[in-house]
Parts: sequence; structure tokens; C-alpha cells
Amino acid sequence: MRTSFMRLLNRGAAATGLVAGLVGCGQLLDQAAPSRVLEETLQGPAAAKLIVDGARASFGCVLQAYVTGMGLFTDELEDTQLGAAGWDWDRRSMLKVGGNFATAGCDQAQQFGIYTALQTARYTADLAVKNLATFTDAEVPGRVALLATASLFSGYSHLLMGEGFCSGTVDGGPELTPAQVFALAETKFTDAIASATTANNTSLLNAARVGRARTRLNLAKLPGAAIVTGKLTEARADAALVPSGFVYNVPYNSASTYSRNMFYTRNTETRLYGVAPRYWAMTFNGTADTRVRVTQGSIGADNLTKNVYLAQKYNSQGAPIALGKYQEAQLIVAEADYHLVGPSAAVPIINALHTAVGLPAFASTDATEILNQIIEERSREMFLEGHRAYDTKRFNLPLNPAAGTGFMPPNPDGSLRNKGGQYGDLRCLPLPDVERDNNPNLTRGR
Amino acid sequence: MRWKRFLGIAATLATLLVGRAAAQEVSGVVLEGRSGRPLEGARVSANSKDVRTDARGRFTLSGLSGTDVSIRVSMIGFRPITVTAPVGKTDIRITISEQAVNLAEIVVTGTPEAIEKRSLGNSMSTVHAADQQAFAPAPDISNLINSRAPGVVVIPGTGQVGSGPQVRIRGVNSFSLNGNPLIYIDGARVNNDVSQGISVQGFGSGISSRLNDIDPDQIESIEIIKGPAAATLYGTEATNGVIQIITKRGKAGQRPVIGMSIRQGTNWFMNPEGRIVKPLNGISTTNGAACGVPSATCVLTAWNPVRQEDSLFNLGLVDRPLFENGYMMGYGVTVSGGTDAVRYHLGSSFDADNGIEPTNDLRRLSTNANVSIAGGDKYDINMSFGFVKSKVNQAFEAGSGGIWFSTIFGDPALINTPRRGFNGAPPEFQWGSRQAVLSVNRFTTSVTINHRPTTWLSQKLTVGLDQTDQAAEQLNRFLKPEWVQFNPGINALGGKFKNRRTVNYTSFDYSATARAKLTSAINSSTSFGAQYFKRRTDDLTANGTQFVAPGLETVLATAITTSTEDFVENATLGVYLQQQFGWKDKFYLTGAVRVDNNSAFGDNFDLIAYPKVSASYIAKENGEGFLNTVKLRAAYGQSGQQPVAFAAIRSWRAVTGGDGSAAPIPEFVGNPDLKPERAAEIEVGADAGLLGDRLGFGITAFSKTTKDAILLQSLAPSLGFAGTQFVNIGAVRNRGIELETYGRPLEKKDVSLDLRFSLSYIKNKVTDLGLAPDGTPKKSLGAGQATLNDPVNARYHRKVIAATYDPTTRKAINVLCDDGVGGPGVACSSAALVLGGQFDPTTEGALSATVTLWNRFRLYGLADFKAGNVHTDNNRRALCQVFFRCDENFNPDKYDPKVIAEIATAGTVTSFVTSKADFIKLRELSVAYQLPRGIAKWFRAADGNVSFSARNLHTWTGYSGLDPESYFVTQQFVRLEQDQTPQLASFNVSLNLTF
Repeated sequence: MRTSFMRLLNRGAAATGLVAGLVGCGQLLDQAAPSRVLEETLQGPAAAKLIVDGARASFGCVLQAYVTGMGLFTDELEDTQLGAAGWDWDRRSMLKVGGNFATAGCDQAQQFGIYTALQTARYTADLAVKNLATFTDAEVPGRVALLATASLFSGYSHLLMGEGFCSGTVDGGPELTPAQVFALAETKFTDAIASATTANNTSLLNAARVGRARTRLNLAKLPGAAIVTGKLTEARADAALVPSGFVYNVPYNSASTYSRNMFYTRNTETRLYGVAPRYWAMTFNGTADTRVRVTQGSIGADNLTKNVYLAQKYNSQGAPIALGKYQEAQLIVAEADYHLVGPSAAVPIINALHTAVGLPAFASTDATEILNQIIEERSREMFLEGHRAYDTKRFNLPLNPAAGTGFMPPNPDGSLRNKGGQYGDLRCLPLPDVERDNNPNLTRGR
Repeated sequence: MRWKRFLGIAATLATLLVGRAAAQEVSGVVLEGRSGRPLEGARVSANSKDVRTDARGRFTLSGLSGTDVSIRVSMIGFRPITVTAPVGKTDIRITISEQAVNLAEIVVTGTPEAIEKRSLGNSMSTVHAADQQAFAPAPDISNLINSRAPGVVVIPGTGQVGSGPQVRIRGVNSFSLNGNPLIYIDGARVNNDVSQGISVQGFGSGISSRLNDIDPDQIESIEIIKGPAAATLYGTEATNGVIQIITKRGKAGQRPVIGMSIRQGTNWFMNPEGRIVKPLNGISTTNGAACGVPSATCVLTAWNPVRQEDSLFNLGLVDRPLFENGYMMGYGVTVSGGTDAVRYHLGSSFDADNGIEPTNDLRRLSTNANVSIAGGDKYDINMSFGFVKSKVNQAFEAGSGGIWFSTIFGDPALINTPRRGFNGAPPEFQWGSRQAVLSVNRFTTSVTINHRPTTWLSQKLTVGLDQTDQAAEQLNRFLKPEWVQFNPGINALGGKFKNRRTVNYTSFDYSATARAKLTSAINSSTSFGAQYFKRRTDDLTANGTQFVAPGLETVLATAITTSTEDFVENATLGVYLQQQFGWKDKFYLTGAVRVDNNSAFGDNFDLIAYPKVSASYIAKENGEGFLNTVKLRAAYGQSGQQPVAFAAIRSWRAVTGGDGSAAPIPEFVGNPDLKPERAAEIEVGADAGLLGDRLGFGITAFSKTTKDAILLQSLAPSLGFAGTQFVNIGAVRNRGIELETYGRPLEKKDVSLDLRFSLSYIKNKVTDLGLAPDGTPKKSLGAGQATLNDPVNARYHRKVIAATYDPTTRKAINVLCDDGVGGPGVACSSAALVLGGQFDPTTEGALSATVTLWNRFRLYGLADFKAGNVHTDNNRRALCQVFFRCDENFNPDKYDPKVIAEIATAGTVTSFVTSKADFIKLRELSVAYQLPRGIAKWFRAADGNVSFSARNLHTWTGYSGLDPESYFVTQQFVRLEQDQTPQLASFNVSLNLTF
């Protein structure tokens, strides 16, 4: 018994020594990774559509975060949560050193961010375009339409970067001014228009037209700069081609936080953020404006806000967000005509939009009044669609609440909602240090 | 009557016989001097009679003559003693004390086979757990090792019952990898996770540690080796040191030894009123609402939540005060014994400890079984089995809120509301609306076969398995109608999160040693070893939100459910070769090399080799005079730390698109060049026994440098793969010195004093950060990140350096911030992040004393201290800068204008919350009493003791927060206190009986 045991032990020792000799080539060190989507599996033509789906998904996620964040940053939304996760958004007090806006995920309810998510969406879209360019139509069914889709989301990713941030950068490159970012966006939209035309996809085509018109409008009227008539003309031309009733929606569903319109969760479901007072009861000449529908909810998650106002535009986790639509195109036409033809040329367009929603007509011949009305129409037509922040910047609108005001204003009944600090004077988000510190082509952070 | 007479004669004869027999023998017990534990195997001799003590330390010397006998007791590692006793005495208690420097002590950690300490070239700390538990029982292993090994720092973080600490040995070695030492139990590698409990808001709370799963009463000793110089043979992953836990084993005896223990106690939050800052607010005298600057109509009011809740409780208006004493109890039973061929030790214990909140308690059943089989001279087999079943209810704290958040950040303006002044919600909501539970079932087993086929060859094989099944749950209950106001919206419907994680550790460890006598003076020992280790983690998570009705508690009962599954595995395969030469049992020279491969290395990296060389020289041993024993030692060695599993792989993440399609998005960029960190350490030291080997002294100096240090580097998001990437970059150096002195300066018949003092100092700094794009050495990884020549665990902050106070505006004006280059200052909007200190202590140590009276009473005290570090007092920051309810907000004229200026920045300038965290803590006080046999017999026991022990009775500190040991510990470096439970004071009574 003992002898056989010893033999066994000796054999075991010999086997162990043999196994040890396999260092470096042994199967013992194979590392299974069935839960990781390895990049090599995504490099062939069969995966080309998947990358486009990734671009669409990542853009959808960042868009709802952008709508929430920039809504807080402007006068569209207010913070109603207990923690401080969203205070910098609402207080306009984020430093470039970082914070949620720079690195947090777009699918988080309380502390969400947009910079990183926006770059992910842009990179994925650009990668999809790059990959599709190397494949043939035979290898990838519907390749040209996929190219149009990827180019469209690349264009919008650039556009939001240019509008939301004080400066931008792409692919680890140098710092870009918003105008430079817009120029890149314009190129992407042009590519999208070309591909959509080839693919005969009118939905993508018109979405790209709205996007390019918006981009060209931005280029035509940079903050503090004189109007560039040529760009304005180009913007008008794109916008004028958009047919009545057109809307390009970014879809959402409740399957996961990534696919969800988290605005609904943040506003209605958790009452972390509410619609700001400016939009609580919008009327025009005494008639309620149905474009801005809000309802009065109960107490906020901060236990300080007596009533959180809920946006009815996004009434479910699957509520879509309009990326581009006829009304926006018409307001671009109105703004262009205001400058190119004369202020009064904008009035019929405004009134056509009023008629569509049952509002009384607007009448004025005063240039300032008309421009203000265009701005007002934009704030209502594109309420919570991610336009207000850049409008505030390019039209130099007064900050609301004003910079230096204590954060936050009292409830209507006078009870205080003090949360600490004061409203800042930012009109765009700083390029965060996570980019500056790690992009070799950028100046280091402070 | 006849039978009565017969009985009487018989009784008389028996008495005479017994008396005669007793007159010819002596018997008694041999005890270890400091702990009073019985010693097995001690040699007891008198009048040429010679016996060994049994498992109970008992002996009997028979066949003696005369009236008195001189008894000599000796044992390897102990100072021999001779006592005189009357022949016939049967209850002799002889105490022998350990030599201050015991070169014959057998150690097993960091060596291919069990060896005597004399041949070790490196330092090793040994905690004699069984001795320690006998008179000052620690509730868990982390408390057992805390302050008992210089250079070993226990980082508790939270005082919650059932929590566990992180352990750091000889500083921080990496920029980003965890610093947990490896843990072995009886030669098998086991789970060393430090995991967080509840996690919201991006930071963790309710820390638990797998180290504390192990019942300290089942441990014989703990060996700790502290760095690469000692841990080379453990290869990759051993940079942070190794803790080896050696469990109790059975001892050969005629019958089983049964032990029973019972513990009862309580814990409490010491002086809560004096430690919790009372939030302030201006209250309007007209409508009671919060108002601004105090005036005739705006009265400044402070809120004392502790007193308020006590009063309400006394009036019967609430169910309990804010903090209550937590009841603690524990029960244990052991059986051990065996024969020369088979020995066994079985132990089981049950602990039920409650915390100071109703939502914090621990229930733990721990069972241990060890069996040793001796196969003569040729082989022996040791088997260990351990099973732990525990359940910890974790109170919400730290980032999760709970009563700590709502109390510390309360608002006097809300006293007359349903919130009663608490921020967010009153305590009954915090306790009743949600619950977090961590349940663990853990099975650990190892089998070690020692085989000695010849006199010159021995081999050992250890196979180990450690499986931890952990379930972490968080239940957010469907709120009662009256509670909806505290968490309105969808949150009022509640939800359930459940994560089941199985962590498997499998290890094979083979070694063979061949010994040869090369000359009459030189011995050779050649060892070869191979180790294979694999860790696999399986994760299954279910999450549900929105219960459809009250009372529901499972994910199935929620309206929206999601789930995830994942598994991660990592394997290391290594071989080593070691050669040792010994000269006349005085000088030992050891050289070794270990070669490793690991599954987490990048594709472009293959093997790594770690060399080692050490020497020890016994300059004097058991000599006479002042200096009795001197050992000099020196060691150099390397070991590594492997990257995180999958860190080298570029991968994408699967998501659902808004249109319902499955889609990939970039996730981890990977790094095919990733290789392990390589730490090289040199240490030199000496151990000395003085004053008749009653006083021991040890000193060790070390220098450890980690090269190719792994940094979880942030990536520029514009590169597409956002987030982070593990890269090998730069170097971190730790240099330090460790001192330890111990001994028995007073030793009289009825009174003795044992003292132990330890001190360690460590200096940590970043010595290399690679090259900048222009080829020059990089000086910093970015604002507030690792910086050349700064500590790696640095606290950076912006700091106001000049300000004046304007009484009109009640604000600081003329404010200038530190520009980081020693200039006159800059506007704070462009202030530099400057070094504010380091988070981990540079200096730590402990002083303990044991007074033994009449060999029965033992009074023990331990005070430990840490110094040279800072913490971020985020309670103060949030109260002053976020909620604006600290005194500085209302009475700025009383304070330094620089502090007022910093507070006004609303969070960007925060040097005012960087607080020195030096402290001295009265950690343990205990009184133990060894029961006389007569009293033990009341319990039908052979022996017993009773002890009274108290912990964390007082802290001397200048730290501004609640407790210098409270902070988030899941973060690698940052020590930030916010709403943690402080370390609790406790008192326990224990009764231990041996049958």
C-alpha cells in the first residue's frame, strides 16, 4: 500500500515538473474571454453594418444626455435633486479640470456626461465610414445607405461638439475652434447627402440637409462675428429643400439604460431635474403654446423644490427625440431671409408655424422684435431638442438666472432652495482636462 | 456490620496507598509565559526522570524520593528554567518564556520547505495568534495583525460591524494596481479580495474583506513576509507581500481535548454629540423658513440631532435613538487530539454581532477541520477544510447616504417638518426603506503531502481550492405612502439589485529539496519548485426596478428587469530553482530565480524572471553576558504584479440601440505590450537577543523600487476608445526602516512585565514617469496626478495663500491662490494644484504591555499610532461649500480670511479640508484571569480563563473629521472621509474552557 502510494507520489511529482516545463507555451494559461467583444471580430465586411449600428446607438445615447445637460446649462431645465451630481450643469460652474460632463456615461440618470460619449459616437461613426469605404457593395448589402447613415451621425456628432463646447478636437489632434469643428461637420453632412442621394434615401437625405443647414447657419453667424452672407445663403438653400412634415427622429426604447431616453427617467420618473420656470406656462398673446407642454408634478428629489415640472414631449422611456425637422428648417430659412431679404421676410414663416399649432399671428415690422421672435420660436419649436445652448451663445442672450445669482432661486411660494454656490457665466462647456492631459497635441491643463 | 468494617479498612488502605503514591511523584502544567497557554512538548526532568508535556501542557514525574525535587523545564526557543517543588505536589504551575530571538523557530512562508529562522536572509513577522487570543481576543484577523508587525498597515475605512479593511505592507508599489498582499492558508492561495458593498454615486461603502472570513480562534500563527526580497518564490503578484495563515492542528494525546468559548459584549459610538458637527442655519422668526445673514429676524440656530432623537425616544415618539449600543456575542467549540499516526483538530464558531444601527449586523458560522496523517519517516499528509457561512447587513453610509449623510448635513430649518432636520429623510426612512445584504458561503480546502523518500531528498505537494459564493443584494422597498415624499417619483416604487459572484482559487504548489553535506562544515540545499495558480470569477447580476405593490422583494416582482453575466479568469504558471549553502549553522547564502508567465500579459510579452539572493550570519547564539544572540541578514529579490485580467485586450461593448438593434461600441483599448510590474527590493537587518535573551531587538532597512509600474492611464476621449488604458510607465520607490523591540524586563515569581514596541517609517515617491514626446523626462502625468519626486499617494489641492476680510460684504477679498511655482500668487480661477501631503502614513507603530500577576492575571494594553499623512475631510467640505451650513458660512469674521475665501469657491479650492490625520489610539485593553482548577471544575472543565477586553477607547488626534481611520477604501490612494461610520468602541467578556 505504502509502496504504491510512493510510486504515485513520485509520478505526480514528475508530472508536475513536466507541466512546469511548459511555461510559456502551456494551455494552462489560455484566457477565455467569451464576455468580451474582441476587435478582430468586427473588422470584416460582415461586421460593417454592426459598426454603423454602434454609431447610431452611441449617438442616440449621447443625444438624450446632451438634451438634458444643455437643458440644465440653459434656462430649459433646473436641478431638483438632493445630491450635487447635477449642480455644475445647472449652475454653469464646471471647470475644465473635469467633472461629470467630461467623463460620466450618457446612460446614467443622476451623474451623466456628454464629452466622452460624444467622442465615442463620433469615432464610431467615422470608423464605420472608413470601414465601409474599403468594402464593396457586393460585400456589404446596402453599403451606400449605411455610408449615409454613418456620415449623418458623424456630422451631428461634430455639430454638437461645435455648439456645446468652447473648443473641440478630433482623433487626438490639435485644439479646434467651434468654426473648425463646424467645417468638419459640414463635410460629413455633404458626404451624407451624396450617399443618401445615391441610395435614394429621402429620410437620410433630408436629415443631412437639416444638419448641414444648421451647421452652415452656425458658420454664417459665429458669436461676435459679422454675418457671412455666402454661408447664410447656403444654409437657406439646404433648409428650403426640406419638405413640410419632415422629421428625423432618433428612436429610443426601454430595453436598457443605453437605449432609453433617460430624459424621461431624469425628469418624470425620478424628478432629478425639472423644467425651468420660463417654460411652465408658455402662451402667445394669451393662447397656450402646445409646442411646450409641461405638467406640474410633486416635490422634487431634493425635497426642496415644491413642484417639479414635467416635460410632456418625452412621456416615456421610448419617446423619440427630433434630430432635424421641417420647423427647424423653416426657422433657418426665416433667419436667413431676415438677414438676406429683410426682417419682415421672416414674419410669414413665423406665422405659418403659428398657424400649424393654432397660435395667433405674430405681427411686427421692428427688426429687433422680429429677431427676438425668431429666437423665441426656436426656443419653443425646438424645446428640449438641444438647440437652446448655442442660441444663447450665438445670440448672446441674457443668462437665466443671471451669473452671480445664488444657486438656486426660491420656490414660487418664497421658500428657499439654497444648494450652495452661485450661477456662473459659462456659455459653452470647456474642453475638459481629460482630453488636454492625454492628447499629446493639446496644451496641458491648468 | 462486617461489610462496614471491611469498607472502612479498604478506605484506609486506599488512602494510604494514594498518599504514598502521591508522595513519590509530582505533577503540574507548563505554561507559556506571556499568554499563559499550556505548552505541549516541553521537556520536564528531575532526578534523571525525563518526560514531555502532553497536549494540555501537563506532566507527571514519578518514582521520586525525598521531600523536595529540583525540576528543570526546557523547550527549543524558550529559556530553560529550574524550579523546586515538594515531592507529592500535584498542581505545580511552571511558566517558561520564549527566547527573545528564537533562531530555531520553524517558518514555512517564502521558502520551499519548512526551515529554521536562522537561515532566513529576510525579515519575517510572526503573529502568535493562539497565544494572543488567549488573553486579548481579537474579533477578526485584521484586528489580530493590526499593529503587531512593523510595516504592515491595516486600513479599516469604516467601523461597521462585518466590515473589513485593506492591508498595505511596506507602502504603495503601483500607480494603479491594488495593494492587497497575497493570502495563503496552510500553503494554499486563497481569496484576498477587498470588495465594496453598496455603491451609488460612483464610490463605495460598506467595505468587506475576505481576510476577515477566517475565525481568528482557529489560527495557530500568522507569518508575514513583506516584499520582493522575501517573496521572490511567489513570483508574479507577490510585490505586496504575503500573509500565510497557519491553522491549528491536533496534538497527540490520550483523549480528545475539548474547548468551549463564549463571548458577550457591546459596541458603541463614543461621544457622538461631541464629534458630529452641528449644522447651522439662519431661521426666520416670522415664518420659520431658512433665511440668509443672521439678524433680528433671522436667528442662527444649531441642530443637535443626537440629543433631539434621544429626547424623542424618551418621549416615545420614535422607536429608537439615533445611535444605540450594539449587542455582540460569539460561541465556539473545538475538539482536538489524536495519536502519533493521526491527529485532528475540529473547530466551529458562531458570531452574532450587531452594530449601532438597526441595519448593520453580522451573523457568521465558521467551521474548520484539520487532519494530519503521519506515515512514519517517509511521508505525512496534512488536510485542511474550512467552511464559512456569513451574512452581513450593511447600513447605508458614505456615498450611499443613510443616517450619516442625513445627520451630518442636516438643516435646522427643517426641524419642524417631517424630516425633523435631517437632510433628505429622517432615520426611520433610512433604516426602513432599503436594505443591503452581503451573504457569503465559502469553502476552503488544501491537502499537503510531504514525502521524504531518502534522507537527502524531500518533496512537497500542496493542492488548494478556495471557493467563495457571494451574494450582494440591495433592496429598495416599495415606499409607504408617508415616505413617498422623501423619495418621490419612480424611486418610490423601489427595486432590487442582486449580484451573485463565485470566486474560485485553484492552486498547485510542488517543491523538492535535495540536501547534501559537501564538507564537514558546508551543507547544500537545492530546491526546485513549480506553482500553478488560477483565479476565476463568475458574475451574475439581476436588477429590477418598480415593484408593482408593497411587500415585494424579488427581482421577479419588478416591472423592469435587466441582467448581466460575466466571467474573468487569470492564471499564473511559474517555476523556480533555489540553492542554499550553510556553513557551520552560522552562515547561510541563498540564491534563487523564478520564471513566470501569466495569462494577463500582453501578446508582445512572454516570460519574466525574478532573481533573489540572501544571506544570514549568526554572529552569536545563546551566549553569555549582555549580548546573547546576534543575527545579521541581508536580502535582495524581485517579484511582480501582473496586470488586471483582459487589460491587454482591445474589446468592444455590446449595447442595445434605440432602434432595438444589438450594437457594439468601443470599450477597452487594450495594450498588447502590457507586462507585469517588476519590484526589486534590498533589505538589510539584524536581530539581537540581550540581557539573557530576555530582550529582543530587530531592525530592518529596505529600499524597494517598482519599475514598469502599471498606470491606469486616462485616454483622450477623442481617440474613440475612451476611459482608461493600462500602461507600464515609470517607477515608484519605497524606502523605510522598521524597528521592533520586545522582551520581559521584569520577571519575578508573582509578577512579570512583557513589553513590545514597534516603529516603522516609510518614504514613498515617484522616481520615474517615462519620457515626454520631446524625449525629456516627464515631470507629471497631469494636474493633480502622479508627479516626479512626490509621493504616489499624494493629495493635491488648490490653496488660497492671501486674502483679506471685507466686513461690509462679509466676504474675503484680494484673494490670491498658490501658483505652484512659488510666485506671489494668481487668481484662483487659474490656480495650480499643489501638493498638500500624502494619504498614507509615513510613520506607524505600536506599544503594548502585558503584566502577569501570580501567573493568573494578565493585564494587556495596546496603543498604536500613525503619522505623517493627511486626509480629506469631505464632511467639512460639503457642509461648508455645498450645503453652506458650517459656522464659517454665518460668522466669517471669526475665521481666517483664507478659509472664507476657499469656502466661497464652492468646491474648486479645498486646502481647508486637507487635515493632518496623525493619531494615537488606545486600541486594546484587556484583563484575563486563568481560572484555578477548583473553579474550572465548577464547569466540569480541566482549565479555563475569563477575559474582559475593550477596544478603541480613545483617540488622540488633531484631525478635523469624525475619525482619522474613516474613509473610502476602495480608492487606491485617496483617503476621503464622508459619512462613514467611525471605528466603534467595544467591550467583550469571554470565557474559555478546556475539558
